Amino acid sequence: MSVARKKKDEIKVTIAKDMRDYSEDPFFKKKAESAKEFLKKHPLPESSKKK
Amino acid sequence: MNLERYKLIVSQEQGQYEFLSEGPKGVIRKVIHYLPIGNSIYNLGFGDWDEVNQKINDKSRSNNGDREKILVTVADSVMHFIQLHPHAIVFSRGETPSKTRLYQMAIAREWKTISKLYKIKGFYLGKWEEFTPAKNYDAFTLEILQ
Repeated sequence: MSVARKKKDEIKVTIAKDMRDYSEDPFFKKKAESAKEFLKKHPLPESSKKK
Repeated sequence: MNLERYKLIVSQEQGQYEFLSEGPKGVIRKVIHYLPIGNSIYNLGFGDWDEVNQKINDKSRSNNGDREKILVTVADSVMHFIQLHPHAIVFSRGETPSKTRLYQMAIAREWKTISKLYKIKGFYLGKWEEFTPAKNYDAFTLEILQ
């Protein structure tokens, strides 16, 4: 791990190269699916859509 | 304002953050995950790591007496993630209405600072609108002001 010190107003974090992969965790997957459904039903306004 | 926060550990490639909550219930590993769900849109997922069952615990409360410190730390992760991904839109919807309300209170409390840096939209009564601190929203999006 290495500590990343950043300039003022930036967030100080420790960078981990060996963190467990949580992307397949059922809780996060369920939350992401639920968010997708929500946004499908209630799309963001055009002003929020990125190119 | 110098608010108390936990030290964040980040896996930048994976969009994952960890920190350790410390309180009467002991040390609890908290995990924040930004999963891509659409065109530059990332869902903010947040939960406790359950070491016994090797999964995120979806219980809504850990009651470790450090709610404010946790909120500040989660907010730090949002800001860090946005710094790394300046085109990202972060979507957040609490597991329960009370959790969404909690997120809203955190945004409202720091609104003067946040509103200068970020554009926040809230979903209210069936439509998206610019965030105003006094309303109870169902969901939020946050992106950097261009």
